[in-house]
Amino acid sequence: MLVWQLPLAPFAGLAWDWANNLGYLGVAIIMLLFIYAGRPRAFPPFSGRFFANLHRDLGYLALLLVAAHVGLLLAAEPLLLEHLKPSAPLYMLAGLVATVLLLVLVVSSITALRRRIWPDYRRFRSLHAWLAIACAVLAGWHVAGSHFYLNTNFKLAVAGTVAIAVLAYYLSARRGARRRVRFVSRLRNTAAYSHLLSYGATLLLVILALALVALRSPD
Amino acid sequence: MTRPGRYAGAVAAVCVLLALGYGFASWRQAAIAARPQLPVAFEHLDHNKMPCADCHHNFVDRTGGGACYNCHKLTPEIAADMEAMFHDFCRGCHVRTRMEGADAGPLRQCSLCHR
Repeated sequence: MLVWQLPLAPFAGLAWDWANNLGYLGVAIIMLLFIYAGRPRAFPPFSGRFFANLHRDLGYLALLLVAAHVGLLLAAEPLLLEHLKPSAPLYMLAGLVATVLLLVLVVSSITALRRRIWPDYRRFRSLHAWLAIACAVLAGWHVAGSHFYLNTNFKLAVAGTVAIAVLAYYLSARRGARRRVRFVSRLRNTAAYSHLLSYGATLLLVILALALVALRSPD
Repeated sequence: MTRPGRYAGAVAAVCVLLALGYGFASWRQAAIAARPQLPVAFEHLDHNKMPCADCHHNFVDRTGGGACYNCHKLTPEIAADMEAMFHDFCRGCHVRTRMEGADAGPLRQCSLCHR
């Protein structure tokens, strides 16, 4: 986040800058969800349940951050409602659809609801994956189109490369998971660490973002 | 499902997506044309260091007369790009000027221009 803001866009107000930081953090977590996609990974060597919990926790956090991004901006700038109408710029509509998709992804993953809608888990997983990819692509379009963080061609190119690499890694890992299962010695009773790691790190980053914005405030 | 069946399904899905996209684009175009223009606060005195033709280009390239609204909002071919064009033009200049260390107008806050 620190590196991303260089060269710094001029300070545009506490609510504006913090809300945009929260939105960016939300997109970063959406990308992280493709790396920690619920399946056990070699690192950290924690129990399988840890990875399922981590994916769920990160999903909730992404939704929470995106809701805070939208809510804070609308509270500070009610005129932004114009950017949620069909006549809005396409990158704003992309953000709106990505938010709706994220909500659908989180709500439809609640176990009781998922089992009722999709008795076959594989069907749910396939649809969840494709909707998640659509959500990530639309969110990327929204970030790139708003030109707030991706305000140079270099940053746009780096972000695009990272996003493509993450999605390619996710798709190759999905294929690989069908072929082989690698043995890793795992630590037991580590499922609860996911809450500490995800919520703790996110809270720290949210406070750090607020501190950075406050430091840049001319007042 | 058989392989030809899958191909047919994929082609049908692409056709449905294209039709939905076309329908949405037409609907959006109509929504943009019907939307009233937001009021914009603009002080000539604040911009007197700018070359006149940067904004009043129509006096140089003879593409029309009157206020910006007459062409940019009322011409259907360019009306859809009006918001992005004016945001890039006005806000882009403010941001660049501020990044160079000079004073400039509003950067992001909608209500500072649209009042």
